[in-house]
Amino acid sequence: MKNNIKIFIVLAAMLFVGCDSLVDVEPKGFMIPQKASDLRMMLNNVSGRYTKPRPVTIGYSLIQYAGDQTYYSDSEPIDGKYESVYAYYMRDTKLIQEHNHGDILYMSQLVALSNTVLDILPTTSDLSVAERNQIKGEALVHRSYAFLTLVNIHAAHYDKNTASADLGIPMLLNHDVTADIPARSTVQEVYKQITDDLTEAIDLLGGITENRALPSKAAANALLARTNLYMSNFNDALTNSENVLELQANLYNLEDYLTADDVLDLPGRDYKCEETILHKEVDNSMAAGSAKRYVSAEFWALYKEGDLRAKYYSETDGQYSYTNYPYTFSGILISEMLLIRAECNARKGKLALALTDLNYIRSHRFKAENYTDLSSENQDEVMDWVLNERRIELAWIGLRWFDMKRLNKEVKYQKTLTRTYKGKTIVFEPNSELWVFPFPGSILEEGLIEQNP
Amino acid sequence: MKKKLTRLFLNRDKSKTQKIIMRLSMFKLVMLLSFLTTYANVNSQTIIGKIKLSEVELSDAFEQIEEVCDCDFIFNYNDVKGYKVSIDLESSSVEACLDELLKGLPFQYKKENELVIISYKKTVPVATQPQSQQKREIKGKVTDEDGNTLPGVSVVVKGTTNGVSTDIDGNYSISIENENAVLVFSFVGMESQEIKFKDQSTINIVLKEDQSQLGEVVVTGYQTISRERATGSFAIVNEKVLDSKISTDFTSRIDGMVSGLQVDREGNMTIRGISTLNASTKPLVVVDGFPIEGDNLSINPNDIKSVNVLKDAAAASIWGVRASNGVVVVITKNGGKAKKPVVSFSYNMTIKDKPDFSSMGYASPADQIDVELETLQNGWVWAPSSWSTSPVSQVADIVFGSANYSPWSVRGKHPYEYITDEEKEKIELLKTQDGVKEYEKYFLRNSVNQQYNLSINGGSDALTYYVSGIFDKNKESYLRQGMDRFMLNSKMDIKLSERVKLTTGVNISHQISTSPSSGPNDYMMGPKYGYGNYLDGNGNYNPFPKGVAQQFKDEYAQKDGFLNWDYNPLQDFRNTTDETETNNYRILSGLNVKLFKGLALDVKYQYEKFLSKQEALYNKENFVTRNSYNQYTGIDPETSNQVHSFPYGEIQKNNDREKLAHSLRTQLNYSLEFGDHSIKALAGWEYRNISYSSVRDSYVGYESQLLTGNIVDWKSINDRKVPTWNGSKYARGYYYKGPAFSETEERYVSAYTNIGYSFASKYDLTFSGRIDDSNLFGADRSYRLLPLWSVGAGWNISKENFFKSEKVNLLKLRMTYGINGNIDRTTVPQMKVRILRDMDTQDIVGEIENPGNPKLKWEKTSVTNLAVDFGFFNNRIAGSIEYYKKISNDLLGEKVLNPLYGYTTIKSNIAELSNKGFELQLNTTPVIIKDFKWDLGVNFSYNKNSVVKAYSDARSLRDVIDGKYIKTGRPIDAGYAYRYAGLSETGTPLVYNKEGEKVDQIANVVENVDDLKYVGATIAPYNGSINTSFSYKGFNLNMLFTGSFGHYFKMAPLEYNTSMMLDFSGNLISNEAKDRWRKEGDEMITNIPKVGGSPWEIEYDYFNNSDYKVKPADYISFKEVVLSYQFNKECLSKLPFSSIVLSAQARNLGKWVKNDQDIDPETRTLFAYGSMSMPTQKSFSIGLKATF
Repeated sequence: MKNNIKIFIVLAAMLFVGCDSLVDVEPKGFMIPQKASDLRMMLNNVSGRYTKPRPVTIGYSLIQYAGDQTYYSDSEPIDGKYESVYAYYMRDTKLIQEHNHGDILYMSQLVALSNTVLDILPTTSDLSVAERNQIKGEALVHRSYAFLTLVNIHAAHYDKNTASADLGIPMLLNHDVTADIPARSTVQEVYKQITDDLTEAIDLLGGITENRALPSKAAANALLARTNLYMSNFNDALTNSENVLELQANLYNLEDYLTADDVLDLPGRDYKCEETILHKEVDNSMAAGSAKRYVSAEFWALYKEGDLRAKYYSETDGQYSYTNYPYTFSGILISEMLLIRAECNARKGKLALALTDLNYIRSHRFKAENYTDLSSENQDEVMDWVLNERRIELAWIGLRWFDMKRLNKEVKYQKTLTRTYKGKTIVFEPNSELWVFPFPGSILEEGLIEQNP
Repeated sequence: MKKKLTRLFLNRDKSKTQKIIMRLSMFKLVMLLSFLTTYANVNSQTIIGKIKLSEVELSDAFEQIEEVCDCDFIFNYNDVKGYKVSIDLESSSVEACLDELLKGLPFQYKKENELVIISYKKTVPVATQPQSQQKREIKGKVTDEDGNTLPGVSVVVKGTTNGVSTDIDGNYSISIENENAVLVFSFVGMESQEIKFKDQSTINIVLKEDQSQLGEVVVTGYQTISRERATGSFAIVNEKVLDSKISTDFTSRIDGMVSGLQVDREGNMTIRGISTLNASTKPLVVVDGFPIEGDNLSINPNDIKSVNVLKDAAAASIWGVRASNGVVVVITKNGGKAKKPVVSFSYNMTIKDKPDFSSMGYASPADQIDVELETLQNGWVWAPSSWSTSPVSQVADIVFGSANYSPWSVRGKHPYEYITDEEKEKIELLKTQDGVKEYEKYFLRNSVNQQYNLSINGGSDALTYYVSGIFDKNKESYLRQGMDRFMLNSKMDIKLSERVKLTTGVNISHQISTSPSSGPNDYMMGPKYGYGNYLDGNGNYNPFPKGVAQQFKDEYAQKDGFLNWDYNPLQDFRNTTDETETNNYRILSGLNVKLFKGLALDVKYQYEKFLSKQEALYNKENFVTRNSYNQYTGIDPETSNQVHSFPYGEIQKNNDREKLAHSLRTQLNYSLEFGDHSIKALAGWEYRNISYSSVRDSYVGYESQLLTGNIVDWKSINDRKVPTWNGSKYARGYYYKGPAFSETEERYVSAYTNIGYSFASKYDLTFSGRIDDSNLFGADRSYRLLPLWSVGAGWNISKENFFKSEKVNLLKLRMTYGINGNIDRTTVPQMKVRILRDMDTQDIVGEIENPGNPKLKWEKTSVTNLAVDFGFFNNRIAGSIEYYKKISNDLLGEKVLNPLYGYTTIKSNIAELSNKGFELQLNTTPVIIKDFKWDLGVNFSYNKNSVVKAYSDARSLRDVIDGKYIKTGRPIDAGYAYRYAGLSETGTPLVYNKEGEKVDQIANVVENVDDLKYVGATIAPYNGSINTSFSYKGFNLNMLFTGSFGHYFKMAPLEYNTSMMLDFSGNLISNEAKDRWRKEGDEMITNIPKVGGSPWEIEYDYFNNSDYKVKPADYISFKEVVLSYQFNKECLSKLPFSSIVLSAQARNLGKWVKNDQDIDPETRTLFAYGSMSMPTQKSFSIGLKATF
């Protein structure tokens, strides 16, 4: 009996050993984000693993191919990646679906990450005020980048007269995947969100960082400059670009990087590249350079003798394809800021200032022996130079389509684009609704997210 | 032993089964003791107090005496039935009491320690009998097949009342008068035997277990209960069935034997269809009371005594969340109580046919080449050039290499119109070289599996043991693929004292699997080249396209610093080794303590460790090594020197995995009886800890002989910053992702209880409940805690007085209802972030693994089970019919999300699902004539699953076709397809849209789910099996047929090689290609689309995923036939064997399929687009089993 009692005591003890202590174990290699420092780690995820799309630095690839810089003959086989643009051109919803929502998903991942950070940050209390401000500012810049890209692809270009009526994109502003998807906001609302967020971010962020994948004060200003340019707020765009260029304005002189074999060997345009303000890159599998791309003759003609940027192209059968250099980049370059400043100045008639920036870029891109400064008193001529320089310097970043939409608003810069695919020809008249790409079917929600016409 | 003895008293009127079991365990102990203890003091008299009984049944009297003395009585209720006794004693010994009690009755008693055996009085010869000289005394001993002595066996002279019972040592002695007497030996649970008297003075008898009565005990892993009292849904496969078959694993031995349990060709089991959408539909496998973490191959199939399958809520409510797919309880053999060790040896060999790819429907090499030539004619394939260095097929290489080829001028011309005759001949030669035959010839063989098994069991009263060793040597179907396995199993039961029993078990297995196939070189996925001989006339390897186009390979191989760049499948196959060594240790110990009457404590602990070490080696001959080396050989622009960024040497990939599991269980068992009431209850607490870890890494520049490695600048290679062979700054070659570590730990704390109440052996009520808590990361307790429960009731109608029928042995109704639950360990309501090192910045960063779902609830399934068990005509017809209904609320699955959320899917509660079905299990013995016996078993099951409510929506037609669409009213595994409308005038496939118009993919696009047709489910709703056996004397012939009905599959897709790229990614062209559309008008006679010009021109998807490709999957398979012969005792009397069994087995002998294409439906599903598995081959085995 004595033994029985002893056994009972042992048994009872075993039964009532705190269950919590037995199951309370921290798993290795994972976390639930609960501290500001956790959020910091998430925002530092520049390239992650090679198996997944780059988380923080992901860009939008589709737009790389869209526009008049490419040439495609309908009598040739088309590459699957290239085909996706034509799916959008032709509004072939099945094909769009098949090429999937890769891009729109990547942008939404960036929004989701930003929303996660913005939702959780107020519940934390660690890190210094400056560090916490940096975290919030970065999230706002990332989200703005995604919204700005999507609204320019899937909505009419910003027009202050119609923006409050034009349908924009659905904007998710929190990270709860069980909450309902919001309806499409108007273009006006989307742009307001972007400008408000970026204005706030400028105050929160510190100056330029060595890791250009992490948004800085300069990056927020740069994105706001781009936004204001698209809104035709040239005064604001000028101010924003100047704020960036005060912090950083260095360009590589390409001639310094010519090898003995007359090949350009530039430092990679990666997250440490000094010509970059905000680093983004498209998923490599979707990138233009990884397959044969033809450059349109009209575009190729813009490259002048001695322009070392022509070395980014390779020639086959008299056709030039863009394969050699940073075809995956889709962020913001210092030269974009110089060009925005130049365009704003040119529009205001400050031609000398505009030419200074233009020549600054060109002098770093040409062989010295072929280079001469441009000079002109003609505003239209300077504007043309600036716009052409934008095409060359910012080629393949994915901005041409947006520029075409933007410039179509001004009669003298209007351009009609004609595309033929599977024997069917489609004509993009200036400002026609064809310039607004349809959504992939997978994101449509009845009554909330209507397809574009 | 317990099993047989349980039935000793089954015929008793007011049987108190519970009490019997209790007593039996005591009886067993006592019996064990009596074997060795010669000093047993028979004179020690137990004094009992006052006892007064009047006119009570003798059996009741025995029970009353039991209560007061510390004795156990063994008697046969039928024998003592009807004798009323009275007794009134003040204080006496048990002996005196019994003497008094049995006075004048035809019974005697024998008391040995605490055991009292009641038997008939021996017939005493009467002196005055005139023919006394004819009286003969016969003595003997009765044992079971394992050599255990059987007490209480009734020995009767046929046709007389002359009878005796065997004593505790199984001995009897009887005197007979008639020369022609026949002795009948009978014992409940054993087959009766009649022996004709032929002048012997000693007749020793071995009684066999009565198979028709087997399975009377159900083992849940936590307790053993008599089938009589079970209310849940159980099925049992016994030792005889398991031992009659030959296989490496145990799962194929239970295939077809349990209704509702399906075993697929890989040996995976599923019970009662899909009840959860989780990746795993595997039931929990429990061995000797604990779940095992190692795979099913860590169990020696020859060690298994029985397999119990638990199918309903009662299973989950005792085993917890991990049991939602059902539980398979494996009970291994124990040591016997024989004085002498019993040694058993078996050997078997199985030969399986070489896999036959001719049944896979590949096009002939000539047809494949015709398609390629037509593609080249259409002119959409481009010759390799500096911007596209990808390889093209051998035929395309010949055409592009022709001097007459030019990309623009030959457009629209068939290559035969412009290439030279010599080139044509080369192509014609390729048409005669069948790539599938080459594959079969060089990669495949007949597999030969050999198994040696040795076991020893024996013991004494204090200790019993069972030790076995198995050695398997398998030469698998692929050359250089094999498996060697060694396993040692040892089990011991030690009686420390009358109250304390210790159980130990040690199981060690060691396995080495070798394979010629690994990673990028998956040669076991079937042939990838439809034509071309592997070897040329001189035995040299012919080059095949892979990696880089042949023209560059030829060019660069000539240059200094480059290695031979040719690829050949056979060369690669011969130079890849992949070896996995697996070690598994399982150690079990248990302590059983009897605390006081009716209460016992059980403490059990199991330690399990699983270690696996995989090494894949690509030697210097291998294409992977040569290709990586060449790819990263280039000119450094600064120094203009050639550099090799990838070192020369072998490549080795390692993958080490480890699993460690501890389980501790403390359980109290209690039983109580009063009057007609019987209660059996248990309650326990369990702790379980399972940790997994793995490390994966690669070594390059490795020298396996020298054991040296090399340092590589991975960062530069991964960043594509090193020079490569063709000067471009990137190379698609060997990517190194750094060592990958993974470590997870699961901990569970659970409490459980099970209570059974029985009244008068007719009515049973059961309750079972369990609560699990686990270290679910970040989840709060309310989400983690899972209470599961079930209730059950049983009514044994055949025991009711009003029902009594000679013809009905058993008629029982039973039902259970309970709640099962399931949580997904990979998902929690909170966001989960993976921590990793950034490839570029080298910072420690976080990546969202799982967005979290705050509305996540655990999956809850209510399960109702109704059943009738029956046995008629002496159990010649026995079986059960079960009906079940499972309603799963909040079924967990992958919900397809709007990509705007930033995620494509999320684990979510996506549907309410209902599963209804019935199962029939019928065992009959249609014929028994003398030595001939025919047994026939039929299993049949029907399962209908239907989505009651769906919370998830497909976001694209692709999702629908891939089976991710869950629709209310349809099965969960519903398939959808385009409605095929034949070909257009240009040979492109047309489908009907929902308006019924014929559309092609260019003009009109099908984009609505309603345009698709529901084509059925991929999992068979009807499954059945018939197993039948004929036995005559020592011969036994078993046959098994299985069948599945009512489901559908999709035929292999038609994939023309339009890009001319041949690599290890695609399938070969199917033989439909020969009937393809070629010219206008063909659309009237064929449904097979033309060869497209460009990839966009034709949407083969419309064809491949149309109802044209969907076929009924019904089949009946002649699964197995086993013939065995057991040598009888007389033959062996001079040999040292007690038994020899020879057997021959054949499996997968034939299959009847419903589809007209004669495709084995088991090789495909409705969803596995493009992938298929090989048809099952026939196999033949022979086996020998000897017992000493």
